[in-house]
Amino acid sequence: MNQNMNSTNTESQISHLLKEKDITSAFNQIVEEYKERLYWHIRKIVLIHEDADDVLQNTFLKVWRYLENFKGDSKIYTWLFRIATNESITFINKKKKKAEDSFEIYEDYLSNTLQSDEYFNGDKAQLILQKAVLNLPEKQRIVFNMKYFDEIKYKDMAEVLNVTVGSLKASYHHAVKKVEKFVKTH
Amino acid sequence: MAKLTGINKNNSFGVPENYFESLTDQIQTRISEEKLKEEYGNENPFIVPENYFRNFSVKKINNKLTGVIQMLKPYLSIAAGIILVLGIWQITLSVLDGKKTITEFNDSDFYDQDIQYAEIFDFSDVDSAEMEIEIADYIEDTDANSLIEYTYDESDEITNNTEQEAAYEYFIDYSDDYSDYEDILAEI
Repeated sequence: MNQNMNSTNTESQISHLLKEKDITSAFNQIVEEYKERLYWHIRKIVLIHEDADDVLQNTFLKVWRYLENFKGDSKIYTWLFRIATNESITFINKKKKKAEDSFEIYEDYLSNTLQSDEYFNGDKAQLILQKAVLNLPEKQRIVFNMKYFDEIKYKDMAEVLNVTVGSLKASYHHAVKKVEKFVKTH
Repeated sequence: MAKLTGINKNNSFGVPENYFESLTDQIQTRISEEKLKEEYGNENPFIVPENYFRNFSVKKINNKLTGVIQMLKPYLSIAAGIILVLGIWQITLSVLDGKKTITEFNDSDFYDQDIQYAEIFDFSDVDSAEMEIEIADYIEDTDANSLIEYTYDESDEITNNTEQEAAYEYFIDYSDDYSDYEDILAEI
């Protein structure tokens, strides 16, 4: 699944609407164009559908709030994916904190939930792979998901995550090694 | 044939910094990645509820009534606080009088509130710090309850238990963040 993150036509249409100060139309077009891609980006980070829906809502809420001030310094899709990533991390950190307060481990909860999740359609092998990914540190997990599942280019990832291509390659290398080790032992 | 003798034979091509140092890692990563893909695939194993994307809307913006409640929230807190203070005054008065509890107040007692308020200022043994904690707790409880009740009763978006729970979770999780969104909601 190779997703073209940047649709030039859409970008220019939205930019035009923003220049015309037609924020509502620009926002509606952003929602229509990016809701699915953002959803899947978020879903692979938070795993549970209900959580992904919640984070997606929060993401669009932030977009709505700041769209008027969007200067166009970065591409819209970069900006959107960055917001979605940050919202996902914020969400996970809140959940982790809540879990810690109850002396639980959030990753264990996710792992258990995944097995019985009606919206997880994977076989046993895919479940092991997801558990391996879940075992990665947060940022490596995001990098792994974007590269392994979505096959996004390092250059695009670097723009979204605001890190260098070199550090992304290093992160992905470590992530793949850890996943490989995990699946061998499970 | 053109003369090449004057041309520098040095390599004029370059590579990114540390390219060769990281090349071995890159190749290893690629091999491991391919092996993983062969064995586990990289298809998306997640699915969404039927028609999720078709019916998707940004509910947190569209729900104007929620916005109204959110904007009223600080005032509701103040109102709840005032009610609590009045309640505590009444209880304290009753206890100190040693005659009545609040449940025993009848209509005439209610209309006599002014007298009781006047009397309360004479009580010097009320622990004000304790009262403040109780007020704060009460405000917090009242506030959350109001929002939960509202969510269950008023929202057209809520159609099943899962969504109700999600809405409940939202208000609990984000109850501290409401002020961030007031300006957006005010524009709607």
